[in-house]
Amino acid sequence: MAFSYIPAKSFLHSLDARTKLIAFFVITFSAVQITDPIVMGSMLAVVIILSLSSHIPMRKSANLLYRLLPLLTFYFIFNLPLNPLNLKLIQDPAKILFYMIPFTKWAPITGEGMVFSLAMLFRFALIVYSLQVLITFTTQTVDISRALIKWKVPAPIALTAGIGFTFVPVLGQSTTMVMDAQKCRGGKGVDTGNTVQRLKALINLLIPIIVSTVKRAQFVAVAIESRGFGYNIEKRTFVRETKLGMRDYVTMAILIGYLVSIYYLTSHGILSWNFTWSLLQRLRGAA
Amino acid sequence: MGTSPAVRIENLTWTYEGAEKPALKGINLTIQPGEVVLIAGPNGSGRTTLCRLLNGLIPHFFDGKMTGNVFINGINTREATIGHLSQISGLVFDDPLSQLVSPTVFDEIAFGPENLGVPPDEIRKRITESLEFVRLVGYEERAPYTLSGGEQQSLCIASIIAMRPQIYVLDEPTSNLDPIGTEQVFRVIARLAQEEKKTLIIVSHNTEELVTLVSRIIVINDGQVALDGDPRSVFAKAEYLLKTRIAIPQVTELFEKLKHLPKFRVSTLPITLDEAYAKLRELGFENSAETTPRAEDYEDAKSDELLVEADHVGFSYAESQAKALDDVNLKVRKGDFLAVIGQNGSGKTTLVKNIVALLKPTEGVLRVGGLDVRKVKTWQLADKVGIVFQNPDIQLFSESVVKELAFGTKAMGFTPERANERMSYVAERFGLKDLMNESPGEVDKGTRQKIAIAAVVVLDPQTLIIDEPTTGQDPDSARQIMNIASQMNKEGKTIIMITHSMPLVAEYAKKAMVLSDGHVLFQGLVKNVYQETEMLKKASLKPPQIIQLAHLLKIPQRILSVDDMYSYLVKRAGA
Repeated sequence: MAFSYIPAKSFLHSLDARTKLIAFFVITFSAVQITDPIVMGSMLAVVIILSLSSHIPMRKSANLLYRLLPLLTFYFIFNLPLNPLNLKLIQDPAKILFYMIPFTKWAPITGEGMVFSLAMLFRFALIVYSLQVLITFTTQTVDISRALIKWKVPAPIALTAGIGFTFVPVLGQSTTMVMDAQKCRGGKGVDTGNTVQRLKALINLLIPIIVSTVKRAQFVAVAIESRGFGYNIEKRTFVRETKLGMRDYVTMAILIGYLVSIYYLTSHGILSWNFTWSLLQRLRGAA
Repeated sequence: MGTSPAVRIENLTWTYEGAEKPALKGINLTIQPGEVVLIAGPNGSGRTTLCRLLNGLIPHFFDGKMTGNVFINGINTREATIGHLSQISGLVFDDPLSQLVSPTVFDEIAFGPENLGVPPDEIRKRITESLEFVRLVGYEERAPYTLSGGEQQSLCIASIIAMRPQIYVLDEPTSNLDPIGTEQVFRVIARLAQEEKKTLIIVSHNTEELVTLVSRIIVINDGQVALDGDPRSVFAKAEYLLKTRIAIPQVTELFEKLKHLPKFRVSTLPITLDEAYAKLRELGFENSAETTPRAEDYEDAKSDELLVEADHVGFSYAESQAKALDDVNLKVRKGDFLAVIGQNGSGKTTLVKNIVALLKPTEGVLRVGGLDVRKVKTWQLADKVGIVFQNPDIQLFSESVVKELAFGTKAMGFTPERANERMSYVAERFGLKDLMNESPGEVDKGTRQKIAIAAVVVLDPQTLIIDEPTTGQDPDSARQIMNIASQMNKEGKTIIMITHSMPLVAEYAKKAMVLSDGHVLFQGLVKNVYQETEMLKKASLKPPQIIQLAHLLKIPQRILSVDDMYSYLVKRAGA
């Protein structure tokens, strides 16, 4: 399952959910600032090393990206000519290296634009990876609910969100059942046929999943109500301790330092695509 | 409070919002502390509605119109909240996965007490105690969805135990479980009753197993209390119970049939196996030694045409080392009615998924209709093997019945003439003619199940596989599905049924295959499977009650059903 907790003892597992949520926001924020593929790639490498040191097998952490591969390819191909840097630079015909559609003047591409869209691709991977490694793989849903409540998110909302996440694996199971049942009636699934056929297959898949999920949601509501959910919510207790420890404070200090440096460096234009671009220029000059 | 009854229901009538007639009408009931009550009745009779009254879900959660009053430990449920009542009366439902809302077993049990504001140290103590009670110590950090069905339902009960209620209301707690899981849950229930002296109210079709545990049976039919009394007095009305399709012990059913004959006249109908055995022994029906010859295995082979052929088939899931199937050999011939029997996790479903090419064997060769399943896609087999799954909701997706039926014929490229011919055939056969333009979502569950079967049969598969017709179904609708299958078998179709219900196997199937941990323990005629007591024990399966009785009496003849036993006894008595 691409979304479930992986039990293990590690530094990341032991951090408080709040620290990891903050870390995720910091990484996402900095990823938006950075536009250089080498810098972004290094950050991605750091997160992958963190994930491996938290006993998360590569096979599991790469799984979601692998599944998103068609989407990523689609994103990259469109982003290549359409990213803002490329659109700006094609005003200068000297910058254009080639045209994406051969024998036409359509979709001109610049060298800088290619560097930029590579950074965008890494950004995507970085955010997906951080979300999984920092949140879904190493943090229990109850701890996320708890963190949200500490941040004054109303308890019913925070708890319901936690319960929702618990049902992701169950939803996965029923999706497989629905797909199997349709294949046994001659359905060819969402992987074959033209776009219209695939879209139809997808709708046929979604209807029973939605129907059974809505039905299940009613049963779940009855079950949690019967276990006192919502009873005197102000006085609700939490059996799992959530305490910020030394490692949380140290981690947050590092994150603040990181955030300040990113802000400083980007304001001096250092983490932008120029870095890789000038490196490439220099390499070309040497050759 | 010590003097008030656990439950007092006065003149209660409840109509759900939007319903035409009341789900319960004019109910008057009193249940004293420490009573263990079985609520019996057909599905849709109002049993679940009754449960919902007992912790205030009705009238506080569900919308509708209520007259009369319900008192739990003397508290009027109209004047209390569900949260407050949940500390007195705990509800457990049929589907464990809809009740488990936490990432770990530990958090699951903590959920209720946390909601009630119990201090963390006290919660920790309660978690340990309730895990000990249901024997799940050591499971604290496991994710609930990875447990077996029996463990999940035990966990649901443990989560209620941790809330310390005095009354336990269990609505079909075992209807989604296999025999091992059912036994596990019944053991927990028995300990709650006998050691903890709690008040228990159990809704179940499993009258045979609960008859010795409960002190009282209340039969609900059509929203009203039809019968109320101790098990013996309720089962004395066996004729009524059979007529309203309420499950009763097989031995009781037998004596209900026999009591018209002078020789078998009894003052009270036996309700347990031991009682029936004692009675028949007294009447001189015990034989000295069982000398039944083993039935010949080829006796039922109708044809030589091989439809499914497994040759040393093995299968392992990528994520586990253990083999889910190991060295399975199987020959299914045209016209067979095969039951694949075993607990959950024994490999039944894995085998069937291999047969329809949803999974591919990792060892050996498996051929379906002459095709090697490793070389075909599932949809290519759709007109050769059809599967009916348990839950119709996951199988239906079209806006009308006719479109639902057409999905397969279109996908398989049937010509319009053939598609029309098949569709009118199944419409006739499954009684769907007047419903063709209705939405499958709008009809009742029994009809939805029929639409799901019709949508498979429309492709005219030679072999029909039925996946666990009893799970999550009431006995009556399971039987309806089996009757359709049986009829199709008589017309020459091949049926493979996956089940852990031994009575269904005995009544319908001709051949049986017993699986345990991926191994074939037995393969042969159903007539022979029940003789192998050691093998059945190994697979944790028990013969149906009537067959157990036949074994006790050492009857030198194959007894598979109540009718078999009846004819045998009548013949012996006459001779």
